[in-house]
Formats: sequence, C-alpha cells, structure tokens
Amino acid sequence: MPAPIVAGIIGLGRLAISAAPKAYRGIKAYRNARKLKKLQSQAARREAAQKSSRAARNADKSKFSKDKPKCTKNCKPKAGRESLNDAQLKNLKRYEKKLPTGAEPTQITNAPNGGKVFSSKVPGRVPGSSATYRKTVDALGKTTDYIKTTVDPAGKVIHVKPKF
Amino acid sequence: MSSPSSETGQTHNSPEEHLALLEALCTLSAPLEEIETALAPFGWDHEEELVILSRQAVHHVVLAWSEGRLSTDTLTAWAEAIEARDDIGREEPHEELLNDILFELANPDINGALTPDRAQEVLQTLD
Repeated sequence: MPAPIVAGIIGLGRLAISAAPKAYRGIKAYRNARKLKKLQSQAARREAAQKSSRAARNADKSKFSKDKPKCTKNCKPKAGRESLNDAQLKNLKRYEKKLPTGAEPTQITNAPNGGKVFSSKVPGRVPGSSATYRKTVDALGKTTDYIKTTVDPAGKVIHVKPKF
Repeated sequence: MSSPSSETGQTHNSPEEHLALLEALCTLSAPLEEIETALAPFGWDHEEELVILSRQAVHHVVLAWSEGRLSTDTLTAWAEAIEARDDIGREEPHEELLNDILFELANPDINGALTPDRAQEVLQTLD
C-alpha cells in the first residue's frame, strides 16, 4: 500500500479516536438533560397535586365553619372578667380567694338570664386526678349553685358534691 | 347550740347565732351534723367573711384526728363543709396554707388518705 494512503488511514483513525469521547460526552449530556427535564416535570406535577389537595382541604374547612353553628345547644361561650358586673366580680373574688394554690385559672362562661359560671380545676396529689369547683351566680351576683366534681386519673367521676 | 327551737318550732336565725355556729364549725366544738343542720337556714353566700378560720383551729381538729378522737370521715366532712363557704375567711397571711390543707383533707380520693405521718407534717406547718 502506498505510503500516502497508509498515512491517510492512520490520520482518519486518529481523528475517529479523538472524536469518539466528544461524541460520547455529547450523548451523555443529552441523556442527563432529558433525565433532568423528567425529574423537573415530576416535581412540578407533585407540587401541583399538593397545591390542589391543600386547596381542597381549605375549602372543606371554610365549608364547615360556614355550615356549622358556632355554638350548639350545650355550648357555653366563654366570657371574660370584663363581662361581669360589680356584684358578679365581687362573688368571683370570694370564689377565687377560697381556691387552693394549685387551682388553674378560672374559666368564666355565660349562664342563662345574665348569669355566669365560674369554674376552676385543681389537680389532686394523685397524678391525673382533679377536682373542679363550679359556682353559678345570677345576674345580681348571687350564688345559685356550687358543685365540686372529683375525677380519678382514668377520667372517671368519683364524686359530684353540691356545696350550696 | 340552739338552732330551730324545740319548744316553739321557730328558727332564731340571729346574727349572733350565725357567728356562734360558724365558730363552732371552725373548731368542731360540737357534732358536725348538728352544726351543719343549724347553719342551713343561714346560707353561706355572704359578701362578708363573718369568722376567720385560724391555723390554731385547724391544728386542733387535725390533732384530734391524729389522737384518734375524730374519725376520718368526720375530718373529711369538716374540711368539705368549710372549704367553699363565703362566710368563713382565713387567718392572714396564711390563707394559701389553710386553703391547701382544707383541699387536701376534703378530697382524700384524689389527694390520698391522710396518714399519721402526713398528719404530723400538717401539724408542723400549722405551728
């Protein structure tokens, strides 16, 4: 074989060898790009699904809050100290003065005809047990009922003692 | 102790009698049932505290239990009868101590039954 032809073949071979990695790298980059695009689209789909689920949950919440009455028959809306008149406030002070030191803050709720209910839970020495002192006063601040309820650690009522 | 008069069937309901009955309750100087029956007509929803429960009175009652002169049921009922009454105040500045002792004695179900050791601790805090 003539020398120029041999040289030409060798040159082509070298060219092919040097071009192959470049081509391989190109294919790899192409594949990576496709993979990335696929992952991005999956992430976008997931995010869209989450958004839609959140929106559905919020819609349900607002639906419930609109449909459900804020206070059922047995519901006793909470009232603050500012809702008490002078006579009721004096009674509250008398009530709180007699509570033991472990008493939780007094809950005040509305009772019929302008009355109020003062209620305070006092944990017992037996862990999980408690006594709840519940005093009802009328609109004039006069006590109309006073009940102490003791509850065991399992939540079972042990005693209900009328004190009034 | 005179509550409803046995002769006339009328109740006295005088402020003096009310005070005397409250003092008798604090010191348990008469049978508890009699005091409670006699006090019933007076109610206990009073704006003013008419008598003051002293540490000495509580000491006296707990000591009586400790020495076996008073039953556990009576001790519990006594604390129960006093703890929420509006007309019985607490000796200053020991209101919290006295409220806590009454709470413990009135609620053995959730505070544990009073033991001789615990009674001694209570007596010491009242000294």
